[in-house]
Amino acid sequence: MLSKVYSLAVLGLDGYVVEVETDFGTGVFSISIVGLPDVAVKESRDRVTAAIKNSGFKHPRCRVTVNLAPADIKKQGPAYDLPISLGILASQGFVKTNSLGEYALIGELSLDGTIKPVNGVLPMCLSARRRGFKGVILPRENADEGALVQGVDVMPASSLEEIVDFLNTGNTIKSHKVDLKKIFPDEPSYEFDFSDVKGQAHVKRALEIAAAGGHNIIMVGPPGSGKTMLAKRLPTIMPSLSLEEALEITKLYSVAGLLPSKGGLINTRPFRSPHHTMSFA
Amino acid sequence: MSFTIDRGKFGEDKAVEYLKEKKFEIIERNYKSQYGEVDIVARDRKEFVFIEVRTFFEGNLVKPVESVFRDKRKRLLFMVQHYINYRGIEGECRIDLIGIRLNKDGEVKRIKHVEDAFWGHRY
Repeated sequence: MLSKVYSLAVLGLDGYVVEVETDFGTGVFSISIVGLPDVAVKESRDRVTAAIKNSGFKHPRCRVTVNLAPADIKKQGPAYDLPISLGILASQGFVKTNSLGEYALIGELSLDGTIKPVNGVLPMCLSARRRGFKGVILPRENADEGALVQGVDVMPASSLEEIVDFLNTGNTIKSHKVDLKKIFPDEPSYEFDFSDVKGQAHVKRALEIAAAGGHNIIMVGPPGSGKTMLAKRLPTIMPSLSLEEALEITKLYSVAGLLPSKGGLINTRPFRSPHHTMSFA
Repeated sequence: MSFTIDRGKFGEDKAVEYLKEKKFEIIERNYKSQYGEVDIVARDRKEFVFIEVRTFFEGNLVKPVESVFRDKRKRLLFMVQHYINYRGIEGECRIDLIGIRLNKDGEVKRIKHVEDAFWGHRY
């Protein structure tokens, strides 16, 4: 039987929707995944088979074909474990198919059926909202990040069984909400502040002018004179981030996998100190 | 009839007896094509079961069910797919192994049945 499940993926900094189609054919058990999968996606068949077995579901005894559409974009990462496993379960009739079309699924599976966090959840949820999904089912660890997107229900789940239960009965998982005002305060708090600096009056004046006017700045001085110390404190006197800027930064951190596990939103201006021997490009 | 063929035929007869006892419905025996042979095709409730029977004498250092090596596995799988296409069957399938040990007098000493023997193999 054919089934169709929706998933999300990242291309650059933007998300897009991936359709995961599962079909059964007569034969001895095997799973083949098509649609330009990379090694992590191909390996998901082993995680999926183990997770299905260890979550108490029956394994199909037939040939399984999984198609990840659109077939011309390379699929990377383990986030397809969850949609593939639900596709197999739906094809066997363990999941009601009418509720599957309303939700997009992302998540890595471990062998015992628990769901592990993935990267790039924020752009994925934005694309889910664009596409008009009712909700996104995602790993519990990614819930804070996903809930930054308003207008789409974020359903955090921690196991495969929980999701099957939710899709069949409609309860057991409650949508996760975050208070944007709480995590995005008007006055962001930094670890250190520009007011820590004693003396250095003329540098401070130069930094203030640069921060106010948005100018570039070059600091020259012997080692230990406080160039890095001052530069680190420069973001604390710059204008605070707008929500759009904060989301843009969070997107970058999300795709790179650098997002802190708690909170979800990056609400302070990042300070980066590249090494002086780095090359152009 | 050579000794080897006798032994194999004897083992398959015993395997069929064993399967009937376990309420398997025997569909076909010794299905042959140009590619090879399937010993027994049976039905276990809803599933089609393709069975390979291995009959060894006691004292053989290789266990019967462990004697199906890669070439044989590949051929078995190919034959199963061929059978499915040729007979046009639909439904769930699996491959079972039955290993039979004979003692010196040619009597059955032990029967070992491995269900879904090649589950998880990459063919």
